Amino acid sequence: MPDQITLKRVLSLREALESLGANVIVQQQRLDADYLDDTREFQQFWQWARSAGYGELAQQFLPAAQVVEKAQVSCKFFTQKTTTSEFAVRFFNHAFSQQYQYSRSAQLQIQMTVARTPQPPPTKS
Amino acid sequence: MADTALTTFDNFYKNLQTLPKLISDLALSVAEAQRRMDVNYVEELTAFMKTISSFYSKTSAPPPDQLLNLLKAMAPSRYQFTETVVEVRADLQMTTESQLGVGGSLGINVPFAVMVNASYSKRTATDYQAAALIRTVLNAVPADPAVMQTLLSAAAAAPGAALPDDNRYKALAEAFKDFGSLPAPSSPPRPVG
Repeated sequence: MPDQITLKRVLSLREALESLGANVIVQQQRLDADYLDDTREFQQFWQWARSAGYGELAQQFLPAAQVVEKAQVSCKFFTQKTTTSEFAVRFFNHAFSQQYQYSRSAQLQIQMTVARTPQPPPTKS
Repeated sequence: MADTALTTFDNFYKNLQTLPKLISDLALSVAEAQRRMDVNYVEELTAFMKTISSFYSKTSAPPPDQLLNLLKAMAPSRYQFTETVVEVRADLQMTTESQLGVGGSLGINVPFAVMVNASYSKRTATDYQAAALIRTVLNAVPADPAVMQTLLSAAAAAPGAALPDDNRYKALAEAFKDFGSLPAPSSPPRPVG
């Protein structure tokens, strides 16, 4: 049974890691959406600031885009099963005992780095 | 027991999927924190200007060249989040243990008493550990000047209007108003030195 569990966990671990890596894209999409909202609101603010005479000062507060430059994902899994059994017999002044211990373990570590690779804008061929 | 362990780990892996959302929530907070720092900067600048203005009479505002020198020397610093590192770690540890013990004794009383004791025990311990670590580096990329200039030019053409209440820059606008209530530097500027 533990071997089955370990195997299933290892497979789940890989899926979990892949999913976590793919989620970096979703993170960036959320950041981009927020940046667009921010820019839109800044535009309104700048309109107001300009009409109030603070255009130059307001321009210093242009929003900056937050970009996920690098994401490192690391997953670890460890399992260990120990079985101990003991059999003892006492007879007169004699005693007999037998101990048995069995231990097995599995360890897995996966590390992944998702880095941003800026691409040039596509050109017309 | 095995089923319980599987369910626990399935739940753990499902919970791992909330980590990226947590990270992006934190990243979004950085943008909000930057706005607060900007507001704080303008407030500090206003306080600084008020202090400078108090050195002059109400009728004579500070000359621009002196003001510029003072600003260069003592003006409050503006801070920006240029790089943010978000690190989230999740750990799960589970230990299960089961024990079975059987014992018995046998006594025979012919022609002398004999007593035999026997026992058997079995103990099984299982340990599961799972951990996940996500380290995300966020960089603030300044706005592209060409794109922003186009954007601001388009905004400049539109008539100035009052800011909506839910605008993120409302607090900054309030700080600007305080700054604007200060006396303007006297003109014309005098040459430095």
